[in-house]
Amino acid sequence: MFEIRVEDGGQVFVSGRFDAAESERALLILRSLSGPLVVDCTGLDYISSAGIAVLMDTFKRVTSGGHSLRLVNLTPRVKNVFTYAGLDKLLGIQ
Amino acid sequence: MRRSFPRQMASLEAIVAYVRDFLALEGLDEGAAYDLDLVLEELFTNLVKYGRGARGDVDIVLERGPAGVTARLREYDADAFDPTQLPEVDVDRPIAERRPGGLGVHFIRQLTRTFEYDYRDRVGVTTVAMRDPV
Repeated sequence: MFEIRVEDGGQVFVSGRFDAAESERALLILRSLSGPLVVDCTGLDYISSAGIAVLMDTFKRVTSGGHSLRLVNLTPRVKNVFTYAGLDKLLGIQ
Repeated sequence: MRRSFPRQMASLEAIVAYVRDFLALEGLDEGAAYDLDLVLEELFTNLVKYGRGARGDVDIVLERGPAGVTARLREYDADAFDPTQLPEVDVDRPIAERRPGGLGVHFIRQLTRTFEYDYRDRVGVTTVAMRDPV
């Protein structure tokens, strides 16, 4: 089960499994946000290429508007997937 | 172990449950699950997105052999779609030039020892052997 929660100040909390079945819903939510974003991945158990595509889309959109997007508190397994994708140094991962 | 899944994204949850059943049956721990989940999702969603003309469910067979876990996805009455021939994504490009397409097949290549496709009599079979021994 995937959950995405948005709080004031551009804080986004994602948890569960961010897969192809959930990517469209997540994209709609994230596209409604503007300004700098911090995506807290503490509860994120799993992400696939579909979830990464959503975060890439969000990263490009936010940074092209002059803002930042940071991904924080990734578990080692989730961070591995970003490393496979060559994105671990690019997506503002901390 | 074999199970069939409707050709739709909503099947992913059932595929995850299937992987857990397989791991439990084989006495494998959860550590093997992530890579297998990822490879199966990328293979299955390719069939959902690009499989043309295919009818019926997709069969997924999981087996454990001496060299590790093998997964086989079989679709019926399908036009040929060979995922092994998809171009490699360039993961060294700047993010502004990156496109999400191709990342799934890149993951499959990273996580498997072999990645093969066979097509005959309108049946497409994709077989992968996971890289990590278990």
